[in-house]
This record gives sequence, structure tokens and C-alpha cells, in this order.
Amino acid sequence: MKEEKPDIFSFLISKKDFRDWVLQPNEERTYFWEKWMEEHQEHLKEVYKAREFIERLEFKQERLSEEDLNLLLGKIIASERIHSNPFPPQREYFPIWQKQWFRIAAILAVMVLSSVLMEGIFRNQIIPAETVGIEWKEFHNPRGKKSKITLPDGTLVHLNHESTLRFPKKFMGTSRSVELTGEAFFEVVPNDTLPFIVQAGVLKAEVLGTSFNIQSFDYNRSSSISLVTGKVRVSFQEQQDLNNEILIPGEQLNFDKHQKKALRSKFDMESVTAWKDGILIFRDSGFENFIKQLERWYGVDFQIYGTSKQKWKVNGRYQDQKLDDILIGLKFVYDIDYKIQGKNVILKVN
Amino acid sequence: MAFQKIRTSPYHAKGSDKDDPLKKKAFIKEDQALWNSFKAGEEAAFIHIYNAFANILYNYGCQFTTDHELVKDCLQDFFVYLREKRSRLGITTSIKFYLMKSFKRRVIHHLEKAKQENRRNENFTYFQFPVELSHEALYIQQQMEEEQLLNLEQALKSLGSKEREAIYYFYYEGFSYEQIADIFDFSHISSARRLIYKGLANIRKVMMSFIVGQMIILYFNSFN
Repeated sequence: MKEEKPDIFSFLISKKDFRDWVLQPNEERTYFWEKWMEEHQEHLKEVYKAREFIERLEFKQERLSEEDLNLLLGKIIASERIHSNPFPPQREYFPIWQKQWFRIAAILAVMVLSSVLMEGIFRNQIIPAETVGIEWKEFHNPRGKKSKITLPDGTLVHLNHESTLRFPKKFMGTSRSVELTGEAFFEVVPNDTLPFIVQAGVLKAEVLGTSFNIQSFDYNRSSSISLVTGKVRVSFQEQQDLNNEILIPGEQLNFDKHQKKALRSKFDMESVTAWKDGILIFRDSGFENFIKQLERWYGVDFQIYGTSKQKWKVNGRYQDQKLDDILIGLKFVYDIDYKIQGKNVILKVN
Repeated sequence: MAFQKIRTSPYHAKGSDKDDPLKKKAFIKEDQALWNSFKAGEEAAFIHIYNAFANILYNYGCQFTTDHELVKDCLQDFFVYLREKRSRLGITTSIKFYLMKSFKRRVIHHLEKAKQENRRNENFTYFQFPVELSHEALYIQQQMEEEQLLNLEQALKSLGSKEREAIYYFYYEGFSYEQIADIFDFSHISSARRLIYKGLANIRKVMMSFIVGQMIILYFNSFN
């Protein structure tokens, strides 16, 4: 029986067309392979396995930083000039300010480093006694990066950019507790005996198997918890006058950090959770808000010249699009010019 | 979709247009035009090429050795060489492939020189083109079990460095069999196919033994 069955797995993984579909799907390829699967229902499992195998393959990834690349480029261009110039300039020549600059940079680096260490020590001190002995894991996303994390209990966390998630390597005790700064979407694995607790600044969300979004960025005036399915109990740390709130699906709780007030409201499901699916949404966004969102999403810095005569009101839904494509589209609506140089974007507004 | 990817390689990042048959011609033209302007001495074209490929080459070089400084030195030499010889360089329809092929020669030359000078004793080809299977549970409909993943990974690790290199070109850089034959200096495409198949044959064995194992379990379960 084994001989009769062709080895579909090997056939697929060594086929260029299949590889191209897995790694770079497009309409045509998806059409072809979905049809193929329809006609070969009995091999469906093998197709999924072959796909998974290709997607899981990982090679070592090494990158030079932007700074290293620029330094290297400078050396490459300079070395040719020295070569072609019959009277090469004296290479030992270094202006004094340059040396000075170097020294200052070194001191700064040390200061920055030591403050980071201090923070680390400080942090260790405030860990509550019950958590001593538990090994913690921390994930941090810089601007422009999003990731998915599976917790030890199988709970899936979509972590947004500029966000940090801390959780124990192993959940112990009577609850599953994690800490969040920034924004995350949780798909919690149900467990009646072990409540899942997210601590995000003042807000504390306690759940028993549910999916919800928490936003608690330091730079935002308010934090929010939006419930998609299940049940969540929200409590407030060090806010005696606020009662616990129980949210039902479709409800959002906003906490204003300045006024120390909590407000319940309905929320728009798509605009709150789209980010986890790689969708960037603008709803009547003003200029500043629009630029800020792009900076965070793509991890870039905008340099803006000029001011707009029009009032901006950007609407749009972008899925997995390049920054370039968004800005090109915008040129049809607003009088702008732009130039993208690596992580810097120069934007001229007329 | 049941499958979601979080990993990207230069091949993935290039966007799907590149080998869309309709757009492929346009890309070849684009590559040709860019390469020709570079050869004609246009500085902007050089910077463009450098920005687009420096990190791809760096990552590629680092597959051959753990000595990152050596790769960095090679990269510098390589671009200096390209600039000096620019008017005499050949023509190409794929800049990436052209650069990778000649960069490989340079890295291997440097590695061999370093070995002769006894500066390094990196005889372990084990470190070359290390490949792994991600264990992240990123699939909603995961088909492979942890044990199977471990077995597959073991099979990958037991491959020769040449086979792993071929797998790198095929899955990571998205090369065709033709390009793989070219970069290995094989005169026949069939040799490239054979190299990939040989590597994959090991993996196939693991898959088959797993299927047989599952069948045995099913067989015994049917008694209960």
C-alpha cells in the first residue's frame, strides 16, 4: 500500500511552482493550487504539511545596522578617491573637534548604558515577593514591528509596535499573570481554575478565556480595554474610588489617566482590532495624527516642511502596503512632495 | 487563511511582483537599466545598488562563516572592486544573482587565505548554512507535531553543507534550479536538481517513517 501512494510531500516541496506559491502567493498561484487541492482532496494533509515545512525553514539572519552601512559606504567611496588621486590626502589628519566628538559620544554611551542598568535593578526590586524565583521573559517591539507570541498556556498574543510584554516562562500559582505596556490583542485559552490577568499600568484585566484588545501606551492620555468575546473584569490599581467593571462583548472601557475617570462605551470592532491583521485604518485623521500613525507603523521619522492650506481628513484602509504606496495615493488628494530615504521621510507640504 | 507567516527573507521582502511572469520582463529591464547606469558611472545608481544589496550580501556571506568581521571586510573590498572595474563588468539581467555569485568567490577566497595563514581553524563546515525549523506555534491549523519537527530538524542538520547551501538558494533566495546550477558552477541543471533532491530525500525518509508510525498507532487503536 505504501508503494502505491506517491510521495506527495516530497513532490510538493521540491516543486518550484509550489515553493513560489507558499513564499510569494499571488492570485494566479492561489487559484491554481486551490484548484489542485480541490481535485486532490485525499492529499490535503500533505499539502498543509509541505506548506508548513517550507514556511518553518529558517536560516541564520545577520544584518548590518543603518549606521554600519553608512559608515561602510563612506569607506568604499573614500577608498576609491584615494586610489584615483595621485596625491592622496594625508590620512592621519583628524581635526581636533572630531576627536572631542568621539569622546563625548563614548561618555554618553556609558551614561545611557548605566541608566539602563539602574532601571533593571530598580525593576527587580519592585517585583512582588510571590514572583521571586520565577523566570520572566520579555518581548519588546520597536516602532514599525509587530509580532505574535504564544504564551506557555497556549494563549496567543498579538503585540503591537512600541509595546512590551512580560510573562513568566512557566505559569505557576493560582493565576496566569502577564504585564503589558503598549498595545496587544489577547486570544486567551480558557481555563476555569486559572484566571488570566493582564496588568497594564493602572488597569488590570481578569479573564476566563476570551479575546480582547488592550491599549496602554505611555504617550497616550487614555488607556483602553476592548472586549471581542467572553467576559472580562477590569479593576484599577491604586484608584480606591473606582469600582470594578465587567465588560460584555462589543464594550470598551476607557481610562483617562489625567482625570482618573473610567468610561464605558461601544466600539468599532474593525478599527480596534485591524492592526493585528496588518491593516492600517484611518478614519477622518488629521494631519498630525496621520503622520504619527505612519511613523509608528513603519518605524520611520518624518521631516516636514511647510504647512498645509487645507485641513486634512484622511480616510483609508491599507493592508500590508508599502509606505510609498500610501504616500503616492495621498498625492492625488493633497499637494505634497515626498522622498523616502531609508528610515527618514522628507515631506513637503504646499 | 490558516497559515500566517511572520518571518521574512530578502526573497519574501522583494514583493511578489518580481517573478510574476507578466512583470518579470519589466524587472529584468529595470535591473538592466540600473546596472547599465552604474557601469556608465552614475553615482546615484551605485548608491541604489549598495542600499538594495549590501545587507543581502552580508547575510549571505555570514552563512559561510561565523567571522562577521571577515565578511564585512569582504563586502568593503567587493564594492570597491565593483566601482573600480565598473566599466569592464559584464552585463546582467539579475543584479542580485550577479552580485551573489561573484561575492561568493570573494568570500571563499578570503576564507581560504585566512586558513592558510593559520589565523583561523574553522574546519567545521557544520557551521555553514545553518538551517532550522521554527518551533513557534504560529499556525492555527498546525499539522506537524513537536516530535516530528524535531526529527525533521535533525534530518536537516545531518545534511552536507553543499546540500544545505542548495536549500538556502531554493527556499530563502528563491533561485531557480538554473541559477543554482550556475552559482555552483555545475554544467548541467540536472546536477542542481540532484543536489536538492538528495537533501530532500533525507527529509522524505523522516516524513515517511512518521506516516508509518501513525499508521501503526491507528492499527493498534483499532483494537481498543
